[in-house]
Amino acid sequence: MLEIYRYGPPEGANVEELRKEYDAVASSLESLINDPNELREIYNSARMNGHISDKDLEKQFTC
Amino acid sequence: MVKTGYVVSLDQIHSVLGDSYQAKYLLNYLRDPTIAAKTALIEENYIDRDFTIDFSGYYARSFGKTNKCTKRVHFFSNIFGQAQFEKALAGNDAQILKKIIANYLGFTIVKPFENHFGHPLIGRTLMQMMPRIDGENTRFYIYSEYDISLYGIPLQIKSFPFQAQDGAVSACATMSLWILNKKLNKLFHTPLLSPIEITNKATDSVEETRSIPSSGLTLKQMLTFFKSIHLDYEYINLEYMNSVFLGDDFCDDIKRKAGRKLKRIIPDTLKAILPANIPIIAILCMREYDREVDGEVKTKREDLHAVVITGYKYNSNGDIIRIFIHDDQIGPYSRVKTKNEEGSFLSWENEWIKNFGYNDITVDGLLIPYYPKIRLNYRDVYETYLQLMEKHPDKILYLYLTTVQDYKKRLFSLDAEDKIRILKKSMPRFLWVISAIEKKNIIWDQLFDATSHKVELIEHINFI
Repeated sequence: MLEIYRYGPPEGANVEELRKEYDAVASSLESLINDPNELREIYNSARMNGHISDKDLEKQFTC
Repeated sequence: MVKTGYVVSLDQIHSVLGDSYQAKYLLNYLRDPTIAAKTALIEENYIDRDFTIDFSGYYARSFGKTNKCTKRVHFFSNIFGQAQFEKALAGNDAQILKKIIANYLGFTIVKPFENHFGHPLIGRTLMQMMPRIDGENTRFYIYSEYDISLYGIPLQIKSFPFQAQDGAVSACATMSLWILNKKLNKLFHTPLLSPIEITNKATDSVEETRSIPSSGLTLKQMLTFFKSIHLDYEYINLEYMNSVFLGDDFCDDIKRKAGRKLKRIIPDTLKAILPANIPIIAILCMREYDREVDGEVKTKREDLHAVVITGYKYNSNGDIIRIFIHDDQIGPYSRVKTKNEEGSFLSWENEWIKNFGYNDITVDGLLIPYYPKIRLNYRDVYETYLQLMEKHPDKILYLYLTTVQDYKKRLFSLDAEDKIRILKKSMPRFLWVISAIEKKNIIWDQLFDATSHKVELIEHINFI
């Protein structure tokens, strides 16, 4: 897909079909990144998988 | 001449150990019928390596007079007197010598100064573990074997070292790292360090507060310590998982997933990591609640604490029913019950609730130290494990970390398809294994390369 974007469609390709395919992928990606649930899942997954926030790092053990 | 090497009964040892919480805990532990200590022997002017380094790094240059020698108190489960001990030491009583060696229960160091409450401080302690079998239940402990010389008498003990914080060069986080490092030294050849050396390594960068006297390390400083001894780590953020589950920020599907994981992640993690002899640091949040005001319960105090998980007790179904911790404020092998019936161990019931006035002890996180070659994180292989569990609801699955040496030793004793080829096969030093059990029989094992950065199945072994 990136190749087509950079260098244009290959010789003899059905440009209309390729454009439809390209638009479909782009729109599904757009809807994914605009979906708050998806974004939360990405963030959630990062934290669940061991990401330590700055607040966590500053926790002091005083006992 | 200084009197040393004197024998006393367990009832007479209280005046030497003092009244610190840890001393009282040790005496209760020694009186437990499964340990049943009867006799103690006091070794005066004992030079303890850890304390000597702390002494030279801090106490030697303080104005107050502190002795550099400690007392080492040994415990035995048989009864013998001074004259019998002297005869055994002189080599004149082989029978009593044999009994002294066979009945050895370990020792504790009493430091030559007092804690904030005026009680003698408990130093390095090696204490006998409780028996493995407890009725229908089984205790599992991480331990190392130690050789001890008592005036030349060779004694041996299987134990995991403990020490109380001194409030000057160490607080709970330093002590949990000291306890942990005693095993990591045996396992991964990390340097043996005293508490002051650990505090200094952990605070070896510009910080907001001074490092010594230590008011307590931060999580970042604990992680800095791991890096300084060339280890890696994994942090399981339970506090965050809990906020996902209870909060309103996430969709139901994510909340459900977090809730399902939360119920089992602590027991699963202990069963996966501890049998590899790797202790885990539990990060605790301890809260004391105030009286209810207008229907709202206010938090009176909230403290963060670090302890080392050194073992657990499991029932005949393999479910963990108790956790054993080395808590520098309590003592070694302190028992923890889960507060909820599900056995999640997210919320604890132990001495902090019974004797220190806290109402709620929750586990905020688990900190797992790794040898750098263990690159595949537990969290990644745990997802594969959960997926396999959904796929095989009829089987009990176990996930654990092991070495190729230990795995092949186990495989060698079992009947498996294609056994010779698998035994001869070159494999990575560390493996994650998922074992499937059906009707108490092992059905198959799946081996994953723990030295890889991705979850990679390297062998599926069917057992006959």
